[in-house]
Amino acid sequence: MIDQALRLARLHVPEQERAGFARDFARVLESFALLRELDVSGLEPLRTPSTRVDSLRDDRLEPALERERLLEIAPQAQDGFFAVPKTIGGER
Amino acid sequence: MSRATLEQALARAAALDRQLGAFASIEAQLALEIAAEHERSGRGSAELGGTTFAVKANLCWRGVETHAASAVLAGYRAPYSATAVGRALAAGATPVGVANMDEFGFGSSGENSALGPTRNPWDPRRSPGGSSSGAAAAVAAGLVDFALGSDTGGSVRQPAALCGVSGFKPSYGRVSRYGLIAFASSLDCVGVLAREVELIERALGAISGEDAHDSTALAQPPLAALAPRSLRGLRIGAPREHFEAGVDPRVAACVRAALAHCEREGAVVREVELPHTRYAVPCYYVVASAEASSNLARYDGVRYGARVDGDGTLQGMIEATRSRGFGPEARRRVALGSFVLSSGYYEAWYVHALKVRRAIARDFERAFESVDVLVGPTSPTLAFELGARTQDPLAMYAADVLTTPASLAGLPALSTPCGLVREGDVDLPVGMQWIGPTGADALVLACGAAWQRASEHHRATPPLHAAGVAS
Repeated sequence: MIDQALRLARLHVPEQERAGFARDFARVLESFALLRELDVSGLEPLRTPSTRVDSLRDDRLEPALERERLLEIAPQAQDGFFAVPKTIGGER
Repeated sequence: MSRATLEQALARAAALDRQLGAFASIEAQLALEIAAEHERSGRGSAELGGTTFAVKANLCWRGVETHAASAVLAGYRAPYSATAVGRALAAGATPVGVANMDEFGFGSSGENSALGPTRNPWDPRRSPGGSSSGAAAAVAAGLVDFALGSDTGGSVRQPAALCGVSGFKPSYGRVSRYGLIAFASSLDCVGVLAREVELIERALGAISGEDAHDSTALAQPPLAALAPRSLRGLRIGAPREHFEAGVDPRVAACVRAALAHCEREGAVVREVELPHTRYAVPCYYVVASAEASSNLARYDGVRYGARVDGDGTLQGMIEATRSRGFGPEARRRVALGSFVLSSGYYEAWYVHALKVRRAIARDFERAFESVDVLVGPTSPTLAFELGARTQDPLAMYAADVLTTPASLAGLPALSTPCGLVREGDVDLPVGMQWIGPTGADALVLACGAAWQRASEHHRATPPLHAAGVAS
């Protein structure tokens, strides 16, 4: 269960921290189980407290952040693009 | 504000902050430039002219390192300013520095920061609360006039209470979230901390309203409209559950004394019930962690922030960047969120929690049928010692029991000081929380302002305060 959660989250927990992580993860989940005692039938999920329809702006092109500025803060950029490690042949 | 006054304030802030750790950075040069520009442009006489403020490290400030106290954003200089920051600047306020916080807002003590903890100005052995730890400590110590913070489950109100200042979380949607580094999008609110509620009102007026960059930011009526100027005739509900299990009896007694004071000022106080209060913390942690796991998916080492190469593959780089970049609490929340959203568990955990959230919101709707506002303690305890809860996530989460209900329901809520409790050799502040119906931000702030006209608690200053520092 924890391995699955970590895999979905793209996270790795070092071996020496694993036992503590698993213990706390299980304790927190156990505390969530309090919610199960409540009968929620007839209740609609409350996904957002927003009570009104979102306000939308006019649909027209406007200047946004400049490409150069955004690439300046990227860990690695090349020829006007974000650069990442080779993806072909690198799958696991 | 004159250059000399600002220079003195900056020097005092730098000196005192060596003991507090409230700031991630003090941007002295930039502050002086902005203040000079305010004078040239005439903004210095706008509604926030002459005031200084701190910016919580999760609110983008153009050109300044905005890292949300996370190693994964080390070195990230925001290419734009958050709407709230930009509007505070436009209203003539001068930003002094970036305030320390719990990483991404994940914490209630300020200790989950890649920069180290902030200390409470009332007792540096204790936590200032969190996650707006630096913001609250900076205001309490007199280093700034106000601070912009964020409140997802109590992150403005709880540190305000533990540091003896006022802190306001507006109704969801009053202030644009554009440029706020996202934690949980259905809960995140930009909030304001200051000593006096009157300044919070002014700052909130300047930063709130519609924004073309955030469709959930809605046009709002002016704050001053419909706001009563005294407590006379105000119907206050005291939620029974907010004074019960887990609440330090000294805190409860202090807030009850404040309620008695309100009655003497003409308010009518009656007990009400919020029967689903005990479910608020687990409900909040399911919903907030789920949203956090989604929002934090963006930290992949590709577009901004830090990158750790790992084994050299794309997947390896992403995993290494996240694993090294996130602190322990961030890892836990993202993993929990991924779990409750995963196939087979989504309905049983996440959707179930959203239904509990509805029940919690209905509690408030029922209560507001018979009262105007609700008042109870903000934090169940006094400021606790640094290190006391870091090994036990459930003890840390319990700090949020009285603030998460209003967050889940999207309601405006304010913490104001209501007294001091002597513990050992120190005095520690207690905060009372005012909660109003959705959209009734003006009412809640008016109540807080009226309370401060009728009481002196907000004038108490901590031992570590700028007034005592030679510049």
